[in-house]
Amino acid sequence: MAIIATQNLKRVFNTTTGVIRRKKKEIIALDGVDLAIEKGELFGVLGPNGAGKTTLTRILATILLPTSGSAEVFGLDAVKKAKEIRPRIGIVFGGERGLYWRLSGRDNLQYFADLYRMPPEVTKKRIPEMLELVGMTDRANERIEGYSRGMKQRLHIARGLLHDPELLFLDEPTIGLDPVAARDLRQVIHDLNAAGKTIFLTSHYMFEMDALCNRVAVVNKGKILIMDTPSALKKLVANLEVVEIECFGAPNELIEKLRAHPSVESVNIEMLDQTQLLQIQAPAGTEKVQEFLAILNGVQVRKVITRQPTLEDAYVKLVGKEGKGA
Amino acid sequence: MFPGRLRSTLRIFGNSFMLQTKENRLSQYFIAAMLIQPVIFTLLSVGTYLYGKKPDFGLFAITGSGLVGIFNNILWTSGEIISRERRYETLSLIMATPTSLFLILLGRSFANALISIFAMGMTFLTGIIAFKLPLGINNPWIFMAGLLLVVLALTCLGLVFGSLFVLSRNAGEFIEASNFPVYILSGLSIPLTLLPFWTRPFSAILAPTWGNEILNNAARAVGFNFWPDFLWLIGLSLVYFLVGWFLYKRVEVLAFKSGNLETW
Repeated sequence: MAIIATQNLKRVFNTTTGVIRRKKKEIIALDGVDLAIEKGELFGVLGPNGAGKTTLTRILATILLPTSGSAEVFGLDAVKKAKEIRPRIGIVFGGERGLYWRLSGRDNLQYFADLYRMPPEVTKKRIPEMLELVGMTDRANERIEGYSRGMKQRLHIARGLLHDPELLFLDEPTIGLDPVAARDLRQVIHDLNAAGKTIFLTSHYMFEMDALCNRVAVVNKGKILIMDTPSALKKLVANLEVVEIECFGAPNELIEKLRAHPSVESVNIEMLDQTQLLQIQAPAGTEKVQEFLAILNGVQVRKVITRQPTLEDAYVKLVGKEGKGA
Repeated sequence: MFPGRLRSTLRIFGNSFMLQTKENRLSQYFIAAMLIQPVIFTLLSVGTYLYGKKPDFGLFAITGSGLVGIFNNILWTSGEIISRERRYETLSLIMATPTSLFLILLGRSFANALISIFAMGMTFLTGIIAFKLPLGINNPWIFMAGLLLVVLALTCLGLVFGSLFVLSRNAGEFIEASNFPVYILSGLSIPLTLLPFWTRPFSAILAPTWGNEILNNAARAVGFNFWPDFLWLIGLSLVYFLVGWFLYKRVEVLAFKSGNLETW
């Protein structure tokens, strides 16, 4: 039996705009999502901002009601049986908030342990264990407001694991962390999965999904575009190569010309400090670099490389020619 | 020995109480509301009665100002608990635990209420120091019991108002707008006898009305029967509690439906 199963899951948010002439607007955050996640899986949901990752996580974590469709966790209806699901799941949202800043790390854990109705004799052992797991023992008695972002994030993990949940929801847990803290956190996630926890992870970092997940669902505009193993997703772009051109301010019309080139599958633009990185996907062996550079005639180019495609390129191809989204 | 469920419920209540006390200790607003606001209210109201050559109303003004301070603190901070939870983005996390939001807020509102008794002390102190009013209390035990009952009733009323904050981040404006009508209708700022008769039913359903009655009688009267006022206040607390409990049940569902738990 799947630990998580959704069928035709839909969520619409209603908003209003304007002051005098108020207009109602419907935003479709999830649009017919079907999922089945097995026990012990580390399942990733990958998508740009606004794709519906957080909405999906919140519905499965029983803190948001779907508009239609069904969502089951442990075979229980996530709407009607929320109270039975809650003690068995852990939730970790990315970012700095989600903790009581005026309390110490230890007090935060103690409070959540009580809310999960953990017996004091269990809490007494479990809190030091969790602090040790995330490397926070030394700073546990300090107030949260003095913690770095990475420390807060590690404490989030400890809080999410405190009551020993069978299923852990991690919503962009490494967002905003420095590379070392993010790497450490990925190791914690990997170890947890190796210890048997089922993990539902959302992220917009492709390499994170590649490194951690058994299976990945790519979502955009509320729909699942594809769901497979990272290696299978990479095969989608196996016959492509990626030409990366780092340049200073290529005008939009030239980028549109590049996109219109018959050999170009997609163009993704990444903004670096002072330059733009154009990632052009084209069939392998076409050797069109000179033609691409000719289109960019007049633009100052800093660096050109040709490389093998990654999961990120598969994602770019799937999500669309507009790149990574907003 | 308590059964396990009851013990863990009491622990949640106690730890929610402690959490709120620690939060308040560092809240500048709370400190200002405890120390400065009661003094200003007392200076204004006692000063007005003395200026109007009605020194007999001195004690009335003191207890009224004290209750204004308590009412203001409880109601405002009950809402502020939810607003702060939204700001910290902990609201959805605590609502995702097996504990009901009502129980969590009950413990935290009670902490606010208990601490807000300090406001009453500040008003008495202001009356003694600034106006040299003779503020002897004839029935100190009844006064203390009445004060605790008022705090209990206002904690429950705070839960009713607090539920609105779960639904909307703009609930504070509603609370603010309702403050002064409550002061007037409860007889905290002017005696009830000065109000038109049709306002009486509104006064009767407000806990501060009965709290004011009990505290004034306990301070001044000799040999009065306090039980009717006490029973009425206990009854009101029960009604507020049940209305608050019902509202939180409804509000939890509506908040999960609207998905605005992180909006602040």
